[in-house]
Amino acid sequence: MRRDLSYYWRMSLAVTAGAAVASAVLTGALIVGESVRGSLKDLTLERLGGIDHAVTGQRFLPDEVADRLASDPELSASFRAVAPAILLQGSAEHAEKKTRASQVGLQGVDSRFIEIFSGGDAIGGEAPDLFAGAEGGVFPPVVVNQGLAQALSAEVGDSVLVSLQRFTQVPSGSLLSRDDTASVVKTIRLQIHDIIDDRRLGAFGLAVHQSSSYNAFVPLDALQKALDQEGSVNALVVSSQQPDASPEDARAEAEQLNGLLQKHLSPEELGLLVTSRDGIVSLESDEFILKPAVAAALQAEADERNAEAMSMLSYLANALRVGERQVPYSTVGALPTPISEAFGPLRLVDGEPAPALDDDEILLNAWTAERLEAQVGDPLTLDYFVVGPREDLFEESRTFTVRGILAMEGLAADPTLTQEYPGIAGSTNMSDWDPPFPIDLGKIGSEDEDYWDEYRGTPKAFVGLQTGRELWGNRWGDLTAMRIAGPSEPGELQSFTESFAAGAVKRLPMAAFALGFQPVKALGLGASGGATDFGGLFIGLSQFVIVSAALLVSLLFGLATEQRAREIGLRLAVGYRPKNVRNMLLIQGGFLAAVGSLIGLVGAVAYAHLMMLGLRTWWLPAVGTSRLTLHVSPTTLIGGFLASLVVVGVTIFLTVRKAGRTPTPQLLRGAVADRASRSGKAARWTAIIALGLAFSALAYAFIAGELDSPLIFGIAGPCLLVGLLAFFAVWIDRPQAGALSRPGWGAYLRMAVINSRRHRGRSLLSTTLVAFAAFLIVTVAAYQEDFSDMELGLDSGAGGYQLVAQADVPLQQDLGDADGRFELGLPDDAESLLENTQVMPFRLLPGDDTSCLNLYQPEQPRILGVPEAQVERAGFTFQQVSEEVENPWTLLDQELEDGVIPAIGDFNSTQWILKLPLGGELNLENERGEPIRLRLVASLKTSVFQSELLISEQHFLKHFPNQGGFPYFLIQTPEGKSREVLEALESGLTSYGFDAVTTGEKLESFHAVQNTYLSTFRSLGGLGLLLGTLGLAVVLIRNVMERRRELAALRAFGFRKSTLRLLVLIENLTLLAVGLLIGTVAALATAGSHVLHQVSAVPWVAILSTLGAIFLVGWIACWIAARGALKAELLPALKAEV
Amino acid sequence: MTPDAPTLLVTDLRKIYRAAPGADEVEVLRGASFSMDKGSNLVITGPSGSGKSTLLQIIGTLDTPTSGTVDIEGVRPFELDDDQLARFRNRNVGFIFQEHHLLPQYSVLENVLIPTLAFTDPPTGSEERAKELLDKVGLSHRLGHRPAELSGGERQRVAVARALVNQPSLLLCDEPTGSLDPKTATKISDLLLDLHAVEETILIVVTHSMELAARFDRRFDLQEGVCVEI
Repeated sequence: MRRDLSYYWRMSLAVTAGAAVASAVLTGALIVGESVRGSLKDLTLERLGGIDHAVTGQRFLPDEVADRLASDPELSASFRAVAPAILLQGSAEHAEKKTRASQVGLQGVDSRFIEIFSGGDAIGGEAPDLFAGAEGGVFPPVVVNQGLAQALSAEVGDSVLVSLQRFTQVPSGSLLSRDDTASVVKTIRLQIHDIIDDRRLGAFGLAVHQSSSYNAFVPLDALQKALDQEGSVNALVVSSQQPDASPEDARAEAEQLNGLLQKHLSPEELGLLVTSRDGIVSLESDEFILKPAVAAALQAEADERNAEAMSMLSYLANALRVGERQVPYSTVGALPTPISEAFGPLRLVDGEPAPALDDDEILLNAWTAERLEAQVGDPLTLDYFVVGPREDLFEESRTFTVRGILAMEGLAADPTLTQEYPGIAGSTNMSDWDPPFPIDLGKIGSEDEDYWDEYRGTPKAFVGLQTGRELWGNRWGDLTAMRIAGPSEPGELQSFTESFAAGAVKRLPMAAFALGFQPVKALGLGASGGATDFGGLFIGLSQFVIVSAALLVSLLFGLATEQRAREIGLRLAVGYRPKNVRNMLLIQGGFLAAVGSLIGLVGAVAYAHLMMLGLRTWWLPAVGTSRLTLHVSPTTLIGGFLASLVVVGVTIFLTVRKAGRTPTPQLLRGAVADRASRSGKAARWTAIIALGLAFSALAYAFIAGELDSPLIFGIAGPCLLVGLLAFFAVWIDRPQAGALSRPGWGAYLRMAVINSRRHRGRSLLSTTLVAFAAFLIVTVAAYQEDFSDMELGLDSGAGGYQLVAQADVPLQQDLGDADGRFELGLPDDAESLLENTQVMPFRLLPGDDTSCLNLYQPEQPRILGVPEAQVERAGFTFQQVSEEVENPWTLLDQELEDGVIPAIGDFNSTQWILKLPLGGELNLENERGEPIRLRLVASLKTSVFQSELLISEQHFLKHFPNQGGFPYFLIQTPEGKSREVLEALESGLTSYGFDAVTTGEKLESFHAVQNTYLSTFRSLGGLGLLLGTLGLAVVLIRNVMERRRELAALRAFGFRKSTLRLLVLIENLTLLAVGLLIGTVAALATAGSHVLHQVSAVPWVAILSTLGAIFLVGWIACWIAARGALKAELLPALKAEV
Repeated sequence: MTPDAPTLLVTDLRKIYRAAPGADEVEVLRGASFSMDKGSNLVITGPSGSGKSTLLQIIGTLDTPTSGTVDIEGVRPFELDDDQLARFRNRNVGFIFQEHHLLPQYSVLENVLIPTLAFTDPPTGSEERAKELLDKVGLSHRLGHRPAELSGGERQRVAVARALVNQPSLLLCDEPTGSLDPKTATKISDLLLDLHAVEETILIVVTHSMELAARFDRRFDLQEGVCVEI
């Protein structure tokens, strides 16, 4: 074998090279996939260090909860350590330079956190003392990572101002919440103590994203003090005894931690205010409203104990009016009437118990009735505020009939029925009130002050509980308190109260308080499998190149076999069994395939290395991290080697089989079987079937109006490619009509075609190679889009908006309204610019980025609440809709089955990242921990909404009531003013961390990912083209070598060398042109849906120039090959026979 | 060319080969000289390796002499550049080889027409002449056939027609009957001599066959590069 292979060393080398290319591309693709997965895993381990579980949320808990947990033997049995921390997100501004950065992670940490983080196996480092030597500074020290320092142009010693959302128990956006900037935003000044690099602790983050984060670390106690949260934290991090736990085990651990947390939290720490007196246990919330889940837990606990429970709601009325008389700013109680005696008497002035109330009836206490001179049966109008859709207050009124007058005793004189409202409760006088909502202190008279002095916030009127719930219930709940009837003896009552509270806490779902531990490491590692299987993607991208390499191997091995045809014939003639000859060739071919595949592994590593280098550098915008590194495992190498061995081996087997079918005399003449008739029949059928399929698909697309179906075009294109190649195979076999008579280009062209038929297999293979390369390259070119000069109109992916913005601190005010802008403190000089600007605010549930910018698989997608105004405005273009309606945005308002929410997503994200088809459902949990299903009812075409899913604001508020304010905005600016508006808003709303980009830039950033894949496609197409031209060149040289005598004879007949070169060139350029034509037609059919519905302009110039470039490359390759092949003197070929 | 001047004048042709740089020189031709007029014929005989084919190829301008000259109808072809030489050969020299060198992918007629396609200004009526020649060689019924469908003799007859299609002044044949059976060889030699007479070309044939050689007016014998007229 060695002598055979070395004698035919050129061909052996060529076959080995072909196998090496196939192996390199195939294994390289697998390595790329492994590298991306491995890198994401590394990044996950790096950003989490030794943290396996974490709980973080809006609610602050005492930091000693960490100690309680740590000292619990159940915890220490399964977990290594617990650390408290404050984890917040805000914006940072350099105090002097005014440079800004948004989405800054601000961490309040102590040594416990650092120890847990540093103890991770992936890090293995010592716990650094981040703040050593920082004591005694005027401002709290902060350690920032390099990314943040660079963004702020900050150095050690510089001061930075960090703005955060101020923590408040009152739900943001509710009547009792304050929305002025000073109440919403907390700005703290910090001094940079150190700058750490962006790796390890500097890369810390719980969010599943590969992009570098801006991080700032402050000593826990200093941050607690700065935030007025001494002794409190909003996060706990835990390291497990089993850092490599399976996802299921990790989830079980998280559940165990939730149980432990619940066990160690007191009712007060969960915001439950428990008091008792006179045989009654009173339960309220520090949020001023009982969440439905909390109310349900209390009711269940009461039911369990057979204790009587009374739900209550108190609300502040702006006025109680009877005729011209009115009492301002009064509390109204909503109670279940008639009241059970267990909760105290509620009697009319005549001593009778208060009656049951209809929904239009009201009870007044005697003081109020007297003030209003109201009698039973009088109509009474009640004015009160409600919160509007944009967190704004509206006054509404309801008229009741006075059903009775209550004596000023019992419940009617109980000030504890009313909660201690912020800005009101501590006031000595009503005129000192400073409530969060607007009041007219001028309306308060001396009688009102007297009532305040005597009865404080005692309700002046009562309505039925159901009526109150309907009027004043909101997205956070519809009860403010619950009373439980307990033992009357004080000692027993105390013990009952404690027991009841403890029992209720056990029933409280931690999810309702956003206090559920998450197995962050397991989730991150799970998500590092990636939204996109890069291995599969690259194999998909490379399949044409792999097939091309296999075809090239087939071509080369076929030529090698033909070269040895006489030898094979001789062996058969002298008595070798065909099987032995075939085995000999197979063994030799297999050996070459194995050597080539082995060598290809080196190329695979180099190829993958180059791809990773590309992803880290040229294609950085697509992956958002320069931390992707090469990961090569023996398993992948072995897998790639075996796969390429199979591909090349099968190719060689098929080629050898062909030689085996050749009659021995033919082999002795040096020829291998011409199976034209046999394969011609197969080609004819292939052409009929494939072209039939392709045209049927295209006809269906046009007739059924499915011109936007990538699937149909995806079928039509490749079918067309195969069909046209098969058709070419049939055509090339057909006898050519007419005879050569007139010299010139026509004759040369016909001669070229006729010559191509001589080695039909070779011609077809080289045409196929070129067609594949052209198919790949033209498809890529057709998919290229450029948004830079695009008109971003109403129907574009920008929906007619010029800016898209996000704020770290949600805005409560209407940015599109002059009053709102005034309240936000935007400067007057910006008003002229902003008054003609339309702002569409969206509610936002933070979550995982669902766009292609996030390499991880999103588990909890970001969700936007789409305001009704956007639904009415409509715009954007829909790729798919579940039902044909005039305005697909209205599909969001549908009421589907219980727990099912209609959702819209960007097609690219839902299709490729979330793998969510139209009508498909995504299972999530709402804020109360209840399961919900987001059902995709429509998808948008190439829009700015690629990072999130969209649901209606109404559904959003129902399921995520605590996501107050508006952190996401689409902004339509006056023409040509987008940059000015952007700057005005960013500089005016610095403390909110307002960050805007143009919608064009946003679309471009998403597009960068597509561009990356297209660039990769292009590179692979280039490689395919290289193989194609290599194939052409090999065929050309081989043909010339075989036809030396023929060419020499032509020379003898007077053909010039240049004419012969031209003939050879035309022959190959014809194949090149046919390959290009077939590949291009098929590519355009594949990209047909995209070309027909492309949002941006079809890049015809790019397509044509790409085709021109391919032809030029092919022409140059053929020219070089023809020139080289015909350089040698031909005449000795004639002489040799004499 | 003067009216009395010979059509072909070969003067002191010498050809020295060197297999490789530094290798010994081999003198294949040692001063061959002769002249021929229009319509005359000549056969060259000699043992293998005596230089017969080399002499023929130099006369046919396929090869160049180390020294000496060749005049064909007053033209010294080796003084022409490559393109001119190709054109000269195309119009003035017809070749017939031992192997027919028919192109298998073309029909009989197309094969005959091949020399007319070398330049964009072929002699007028090429196709008619090709058909006429094929008629003369007895293959008018085989115009559309492929070489693979012909017998050895028929293929060589096509080669004869092809050699004459451009009405050359020289018809050079290198072992034209070497691979044919005696009966077919006789037919081909008859055909060659007949057509040569009709077309009034100079006919030079290289052969080992004494039987064929006996039918020519003049005979040169080449012995170790020396040309002796017998």
